[in-house]
Amino acid sequence: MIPLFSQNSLKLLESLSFTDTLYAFDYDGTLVPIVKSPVKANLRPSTELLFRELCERVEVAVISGRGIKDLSARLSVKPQYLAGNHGLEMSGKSTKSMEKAKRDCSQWVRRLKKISFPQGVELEDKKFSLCLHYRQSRNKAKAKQVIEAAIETLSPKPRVVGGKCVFNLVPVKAPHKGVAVHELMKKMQAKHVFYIGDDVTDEDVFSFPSDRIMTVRVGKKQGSRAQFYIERQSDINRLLRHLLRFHPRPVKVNK
Amino acid sequence: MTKQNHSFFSLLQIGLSIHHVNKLSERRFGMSLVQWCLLKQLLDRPASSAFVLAKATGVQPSTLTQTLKRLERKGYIFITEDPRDSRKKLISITRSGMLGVKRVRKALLGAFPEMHRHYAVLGKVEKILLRYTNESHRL
Repeated sequence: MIPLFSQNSLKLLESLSFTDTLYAFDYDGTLVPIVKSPVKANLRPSTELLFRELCERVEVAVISGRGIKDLSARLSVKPQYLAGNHGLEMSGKSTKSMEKAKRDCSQWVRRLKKISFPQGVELEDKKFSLCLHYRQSRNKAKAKQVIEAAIETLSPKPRVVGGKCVFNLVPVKAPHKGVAVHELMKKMQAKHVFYIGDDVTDEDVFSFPSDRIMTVRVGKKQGSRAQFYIERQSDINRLLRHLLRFHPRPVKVNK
Repeated sequence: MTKQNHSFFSLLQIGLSIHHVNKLSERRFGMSLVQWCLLKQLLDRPASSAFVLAKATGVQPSTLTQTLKRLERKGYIFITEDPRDSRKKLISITRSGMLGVKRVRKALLGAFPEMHRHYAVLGKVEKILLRYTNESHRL
């Protein structure tokens, strides 16, 4: 992995602005900082301003583990594309896999509600996938143990994607973020994609077999398949400013 | 002269003329046709490998290497390490290269305003020649 803000990396980022590029962002941990309660994760005012400006100039997508309804409610700025539930839920699209995911999730919720979890473990039902958060647990190791044991009892078996103090449960063979990015690329006929994320679920994009995706991770991590990284989430404004510099506002011609 | 013989002579003239146009274009506009085509590909495919570029343009690897060196010297492209494999190199166009592509395209359109009308014929000739080069091992 190479720092995104190095001279050559920025030149590469600039070269994306010469062609039809889709700029895609993960939400939690990327556009917004990770917070104790998922309910309180909102864009900082400075980021909102820059993000709004970017959405007006280029094609932007937000691809998140959150549901689209939740995502949409948090974004006062509406990007052109939204994908929720780790790529399973795309705006305006209802599919067989979504219906199956809904059924699987209902079964898991029914089972998990019967289990007594340690204090601080929170079950988030996103309709098409589930999250088991344990950030607020005092004994995280114990909470993790209990959650892992609970997941073993679920049927059908979910695909478990770990994250920052969270277990994401998605149906096996459900589309993931990599598939969502690829679908969006086809939909808007983009020649290239820029994608930035911070978590294990974003590795599905980082490892997607395509030479037309520039991938960036928030935070350097050994073993990540991302090509570039920014040091921390608070660098997001710096990234947005660079992108705005590469895509200047078109000059209005007075007729 | 028979039609076939005439065709072969025309092919020769076209080949020689293209070589001449290439040189003239570089002298006049700062960029040959080959260079322009490579840069145009890079415009749409940032961070390409040499292999991908050669395949996309049909340029021979030996020609490609020389052309890329010239483009890099002119500041139209830059070459970086592949972040995933430092043994591999990735080629991208610079802002200067992007502006050069637009400028030269405009100049070429000015120099050959009717070229687009013969697009279909040029396409046919290209197919015939490609078939010949692909099947040349049979001759």
